[in-house]
Amino acid sequence: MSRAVLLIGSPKPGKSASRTFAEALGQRMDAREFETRVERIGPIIRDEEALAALLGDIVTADVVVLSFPVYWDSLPAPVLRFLEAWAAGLADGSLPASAPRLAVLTQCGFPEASHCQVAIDVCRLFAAENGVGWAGALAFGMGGSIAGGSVERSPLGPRMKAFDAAADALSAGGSIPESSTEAFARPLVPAWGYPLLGGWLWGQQAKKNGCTEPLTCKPYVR
Amino acid sequence: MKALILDATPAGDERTMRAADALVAELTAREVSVERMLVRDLDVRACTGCFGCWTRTPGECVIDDDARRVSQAIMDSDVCAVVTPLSFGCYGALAKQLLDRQICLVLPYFVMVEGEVHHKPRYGSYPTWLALGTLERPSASEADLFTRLVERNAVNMHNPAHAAQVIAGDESAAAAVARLLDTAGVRTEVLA
Repeated sequence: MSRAVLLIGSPKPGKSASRTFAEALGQRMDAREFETRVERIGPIIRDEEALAALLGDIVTADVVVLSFPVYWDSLPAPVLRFLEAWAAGLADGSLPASAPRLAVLTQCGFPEASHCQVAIDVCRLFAAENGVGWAGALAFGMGGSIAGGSVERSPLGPRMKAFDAAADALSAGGSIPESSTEAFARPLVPAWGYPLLGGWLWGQQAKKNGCTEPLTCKPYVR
Repeated sequence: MKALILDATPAGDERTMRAADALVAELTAREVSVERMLVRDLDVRACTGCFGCWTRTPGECVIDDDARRVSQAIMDSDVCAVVTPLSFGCYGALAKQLLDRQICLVLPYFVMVEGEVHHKPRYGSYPTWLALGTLERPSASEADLFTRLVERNAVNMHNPAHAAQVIAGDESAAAAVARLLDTAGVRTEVLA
């Protein structure tokens, strides 16, 4: 049976867009007769034995999917650390040269998926430099809109055909189609409206957290 | 002029250490005062993605470790330089863990910058942003991607100037550093 390992790169232990996205893809691959394993990178990267075991497992998988939020225009440090460990294992021969394909699911807090492009290209370069097949990427903006819910009932709901096409392609040994990538990249709201919407949402979040300080504090002013 | 060097040299990485040494030397020669922080000796935990730095303790990370000290040092500087081995065209994970903790330096609110949404600046001014990456062997792909990444960072962090340079193999660190500083306009101040 074909195997897929889906790795969640969000540091949040509970609900996250990365988890929702990864689990939704995992369910679709299950239905297409893949054996899937979903893991959070965060706890594993802190445990040498667990990391070695995971790396030993992924090199026998057919597909590895990294699902992560964009941090500082690229990958969160734990996800980068994971790729570094994978590359180091291949370089020192402790991991066999293998051919799992690598696919990426990523999202950012801005409305434009273009903010995710550098992160995708880092993963693509990792794949190219380490003999790992590249299976494409899905990226979208407003990642917070799917955290903890279901992708189907989220603002991404109308794009499920594109998501299913991505799952079909990955399950059949191919790559995420360009058409799926383009469908996911379309902003969920017009960019010009986002400053207003986003500002309001942050204010609501601060109120929920009981924050009484103005959000514009400058603790490090010179 | 004051420079902060975030030296993300991993233990045993001679090439990156030489790059950082060269940067200190050239900045000093240009009469810039230098503070160098060795990132591997700092206590910096990974970002937890809680957005507390925007909605609980605005402007400051909720985690009380050395990342806060670095945030202050960044904002106290005129020039901030990160020195790091490259990982697939990106900062190495050691540097990245520290940088992930610095979104407190901008506001959660949004602004359009050349037709794209970005976060508003929290402060009136930011340092020039320099990034010096090292590689075992030359790679145009890594260098190009790193340059693009640093450019994106500078837009998001509202840096008035930025530059990225990669030192590969046995390439002269001094020459690369001089190019980095020249590109960013970091020169000896001429006192009137």
